[in-house]
Amino acid sequence: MSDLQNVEFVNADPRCACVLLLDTSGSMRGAPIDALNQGLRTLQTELQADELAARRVEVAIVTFGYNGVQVVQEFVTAGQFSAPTLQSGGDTPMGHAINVALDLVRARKETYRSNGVPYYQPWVFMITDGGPTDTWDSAAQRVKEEEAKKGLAFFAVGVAGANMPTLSQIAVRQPLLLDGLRFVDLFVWLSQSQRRVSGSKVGEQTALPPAGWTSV
Amino acid sequence: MIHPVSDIPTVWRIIGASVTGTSHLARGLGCQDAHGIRHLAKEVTVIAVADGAGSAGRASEGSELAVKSSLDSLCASLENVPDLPDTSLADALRGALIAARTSLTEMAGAEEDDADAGHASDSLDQFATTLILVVLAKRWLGIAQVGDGAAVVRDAEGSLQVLTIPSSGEYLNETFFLTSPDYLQKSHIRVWPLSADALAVMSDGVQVLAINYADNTAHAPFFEPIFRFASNAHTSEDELRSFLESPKVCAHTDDDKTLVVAIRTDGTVLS
Repeated sequence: MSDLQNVEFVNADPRCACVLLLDTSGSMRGAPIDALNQGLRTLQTELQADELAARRVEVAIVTFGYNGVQVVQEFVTAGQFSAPTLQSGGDTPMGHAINVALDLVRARKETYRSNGVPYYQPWVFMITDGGPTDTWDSAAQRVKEEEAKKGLAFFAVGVAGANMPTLSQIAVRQPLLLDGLRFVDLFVWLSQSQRRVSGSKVGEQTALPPAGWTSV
Repeated sequence: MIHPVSDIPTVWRIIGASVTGTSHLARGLGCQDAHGIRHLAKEVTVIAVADGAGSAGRASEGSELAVKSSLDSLCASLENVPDLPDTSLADALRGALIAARTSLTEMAGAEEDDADAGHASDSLDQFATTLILVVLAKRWLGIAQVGDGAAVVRDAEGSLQVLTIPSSGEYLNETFFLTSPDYLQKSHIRVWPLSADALAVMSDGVQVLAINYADNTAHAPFFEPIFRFASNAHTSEDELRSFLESPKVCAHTDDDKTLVVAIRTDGTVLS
């Protein structure tokens, strides 16, 4: 028997934290929320089909709209992620939700550091079909500060009806418009992007061309 | 991959392999890791390991060229200097980093000169690569490091020591490159009295399996079987390559993987 069969690895998967920040306001009722839920199921399937991603990617979900701002999913390893079925209703407390998402990321990093777990740059991925109905200045400021120090990568995706100019003031990176309700394509892209993270260097890990789900 | 074609008897048995990571295979990218090994004399061996940046358009050329030019430079500096003082070794390593960087800038510059001839001009960034150099000299061990990857030795007491310095960045995939403007300031060059009987040099695709990031220590259950394997004169680089390509390894890392292992064969472990 070759000695190589006895080689054992360090038991610490590096982590890639991803917060999904999702609009569940009343305007998402019907086809949009159904498509979003289908997209989340697709994300689960895609991540769990990749052994490495299932161990490295961590998913959290913050929703804004139905029941105000909710942490529907605390960080969980993708292998253990079970896609929730979201409901719609209410207005759009996006500013508050962004702050919750940024707090989750900060806390997760502290957990990684105190446990000596190596990690990749976290992502926050916001999807909305409108604009904030609450105050959002401080949230936008925090996003700018975090991006400036490369603390995370914040993406905003607008569904038809979204207030793209406002999103441009919140996100440093250019917001993208979803083509119709192609949430499934969007989440396939997201899962593929997360699976590519380990082979790339920071700064390029998020420079992935969005394809197939944006409307030009 | 550069291998010594030499009849120089050497006290080091060295095997190495660079293999394409599964994420690169999936994207149709070739292997962007490269490594080289040269024996200059019975007790002088030099090793280079380079990892091209994933986003760099010509990363594999960058890593191959960095390996070749740094080893050329080391060979020129160290040949026929039998009992090199440690300061000269540090200078030789620094010169090798500069030579590697220069070869990349010349390549990028030559491309720009060809722009009129219809060739696309590539900026230096297209050749971005990390580089680790190790010199095993008669009384000294020297390391030069630009970017991530790791080097580990087994010392006279049989303990594993990590010789490389971890990236100071927050993220696992944050590193510097030979093409970074301040590469020399960010490089680490260190020389120690040689007291190792085994050495491993690796790119970050293997580092993630073998080094505890929390405290930059070597994971003994990784290195002990690897050193046993390399000590066996009947083992081959093909076996090492197969190991790096195995499902067991690919389940834990999808990056390109390079591992070079050196074992002292004359029974000497200097104090």
